[in-house]
Amino acid sequence: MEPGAWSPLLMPKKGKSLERYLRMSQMPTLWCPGCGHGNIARGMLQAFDELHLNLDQTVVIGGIGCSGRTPFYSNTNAMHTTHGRALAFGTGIKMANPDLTVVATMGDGDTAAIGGNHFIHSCRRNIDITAIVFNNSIYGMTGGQFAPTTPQDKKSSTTVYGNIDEPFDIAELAMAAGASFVARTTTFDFQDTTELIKKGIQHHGFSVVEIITQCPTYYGKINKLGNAVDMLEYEKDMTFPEEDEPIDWKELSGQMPLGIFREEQRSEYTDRYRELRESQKSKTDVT
Amino acid sequence: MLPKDPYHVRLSGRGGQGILLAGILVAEAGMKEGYNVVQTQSYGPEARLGASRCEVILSNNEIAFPEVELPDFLLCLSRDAYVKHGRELADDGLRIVEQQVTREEKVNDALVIPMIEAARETGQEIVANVVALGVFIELTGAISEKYLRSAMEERVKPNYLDMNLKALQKGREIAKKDEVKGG
Amino acid sequence: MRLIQGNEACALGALEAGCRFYAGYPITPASEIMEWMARKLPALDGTFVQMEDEIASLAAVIGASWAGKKAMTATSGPGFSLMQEHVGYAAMTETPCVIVDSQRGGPSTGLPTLPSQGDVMQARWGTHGDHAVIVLTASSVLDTYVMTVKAFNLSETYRVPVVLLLDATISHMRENVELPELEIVERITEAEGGEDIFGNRAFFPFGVGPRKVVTGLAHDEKGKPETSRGQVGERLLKKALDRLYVDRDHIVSYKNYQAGDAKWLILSYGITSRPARAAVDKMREEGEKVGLIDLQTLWPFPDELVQSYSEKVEGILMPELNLGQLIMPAKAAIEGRAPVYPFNRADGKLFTPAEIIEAMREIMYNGKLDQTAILEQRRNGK
Repeated sequence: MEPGAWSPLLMPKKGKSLERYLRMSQMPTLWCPGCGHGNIARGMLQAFDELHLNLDQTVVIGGIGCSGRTPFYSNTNAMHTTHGRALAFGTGIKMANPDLTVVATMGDGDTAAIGGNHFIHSCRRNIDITAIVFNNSIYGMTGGQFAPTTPQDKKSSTTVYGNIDEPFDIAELAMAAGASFVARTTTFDFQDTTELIKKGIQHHGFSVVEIITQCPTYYGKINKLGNAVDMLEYEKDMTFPEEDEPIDWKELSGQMPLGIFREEQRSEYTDRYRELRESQKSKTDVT
Repeated sequence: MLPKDPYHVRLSGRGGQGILLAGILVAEAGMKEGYNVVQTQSYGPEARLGASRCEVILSNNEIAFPEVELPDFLLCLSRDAYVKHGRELADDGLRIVEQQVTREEKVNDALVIPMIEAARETGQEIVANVVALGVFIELTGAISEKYLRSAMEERVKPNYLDMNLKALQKGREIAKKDEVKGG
Repeated sequence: MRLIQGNEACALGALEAGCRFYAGYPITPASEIMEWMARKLPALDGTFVQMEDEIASLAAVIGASWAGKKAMTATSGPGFSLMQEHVGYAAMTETPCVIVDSQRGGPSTGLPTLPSQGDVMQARWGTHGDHAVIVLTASSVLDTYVMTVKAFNLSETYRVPVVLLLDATISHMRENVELPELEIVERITEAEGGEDIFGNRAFFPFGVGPRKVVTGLAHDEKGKPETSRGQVGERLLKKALDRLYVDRDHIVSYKNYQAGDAKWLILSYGITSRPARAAVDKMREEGEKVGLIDLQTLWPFPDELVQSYSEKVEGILMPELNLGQLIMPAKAAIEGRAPVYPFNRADGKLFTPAEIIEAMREIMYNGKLDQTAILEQRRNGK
């Protein structure tokens, strides 16, 4: 199949049709065959369906790159923003109208490189936005350059001799910065994708749902990880489900835990602003 | 009444002496008096540490150029301010220098007044700016006391108002003294 | 009558114009605008956010505009440089928003507390690519209020980002003003044809009317990306620019100060028009026929206006607090109808009336202007 063809993962042969949630005028997607982004998009749309979201009151915002295209395919309001800045736009949208449901689809470069600042500050504010991070460990749209999530020694078009950078663990970064809901899964664990996105949207506060996904076109090819199916196997090998005992983040040695790492109720940003506003409205010293 | 129209006022001192507030009070009172006013200031780190400056122009006409080139009234409330801003003065201009400055600098062609000491006698050194305003209205007559008091009621924190009003009186009194008038 | 600071006048104008969302990042000399908005917006049911940087600030403003609020940010040169990414995004997505740039000496961190007019070209061409943008400026505290309202009105009318250029002096100076009643352009969220098409006056926010697709990619009228046929994107750009050129008379404002019968003209804008006015007053007293055009709209450049004056005068002096920026479109518009003399400084000082008079007399009586000589002579206190 040619790149740009309809991702079969978006419209599975079995299961409920999500056509109502797709913006058909934007089909086909530009994702490559075997790309995991379609799985994540499907998981997101299925979460919308199961939550009975009002699509008119939902805004999906994206950054730049392969993941940033997701808003176009989602039959909600869509805002395709600039590289790394989806959350900054989202902060304006949510603060101006807290009744809107705001979901951001971001790549690992969006999240942890060019938009790292917006990411940590969104975590800190605990604004009620769900950030779905499509982590494929590489810059796909621009031709396979390494990302801040590319493991050490791995190859890319700009680390042909092996990557000397230390990678970020996005979930860990989110927790350190104060996100109140943090979870991670992989496209191998597809069933979890919908569940975690649902939980993220339902959570009142800033939610980070990181999904490890495969890029067979660049990351898989350059690092000789095989086709999409082989890469799903690889995802499985590289990860382990979170056990009951606490994770020692320093002793992971390349293996990534999966699961819900944090789910706590904390005061949310738009709520705090609303309270401030009410307290000021009672004193009317205007202009 | 303005001794000259337009009338250019430059207030200078150390950061923390309330030079900006003094300038705003002159501008506010000037406006109440019916003049057009423009107030500008030096800004930034120097306003917090070194020599701070605030300028006001008062006029019965529209004021085109907002900055003071040669002041008709110049106040130097600190040594740094005197060194930095003390030179320029219009012909027939009035230069008022805080007495403490004379400990370290030779001061010529100026009325030297112990405004900081007067402020201490009133309550606290921080009202030296308002003592200076008392000197200003007493010696220039540019603004009447009632409008300056009314501006102070609006711009000065209520807890400090009383002390400031006293400082204003004190400023007028020390300006009236013969030795000051004699220069 | 009130004693108001320039930055305060800007905030009051914004609130009067219906601005109910502010996002920004602290920077001298613009911070007081943000402080005012932070204080006043909550009780007006508005929203204030202090963002992590200027890039995020303008992003949040654009997001808020799409969520239904009139929105603004304010900054100075360094922050304005960071905002350029989203000036382009606002232009590409035809998002109404207002950006105030209180200019200080640049480039880089430059002269943080001293006035400048160095961002005139950046305001027009700072972001990459051709795009529609309106740039206004003001020369007094009262004008700052009026032009802030106008910035919102134009932004809503033409769905373009509007930049208001202030400077360190205007921002911080206080003047006595009587704030006038001004007409306010309200946002129309119901299109007559029932559909929201990009560039239409009607502007449906998210959650109102049909679902929207907003993108910084070249797109068609419905927002669908169209990146292989470049003519679609070009059509969008031209349409946005044409709207501004067709309505230029409505967009252009300026003040004519004794320019009607002037034989010699000063063409200036912003704070520089203040010493220019003082110079005109003084020279008129001595019978010299000098006048001033104080431009309030810088972009689209009012070329017809400047052209018509250039036909009537013998020479034009253009003082600017930069090393020669607005003189470029001015010369292009004047096309040699009258000699145009640049007069420039970027040392953080205003021109004095005396310097402008001296420069004007040099061109009037000697037909030339050695601007360095005039400025150096004064700097050296001679």
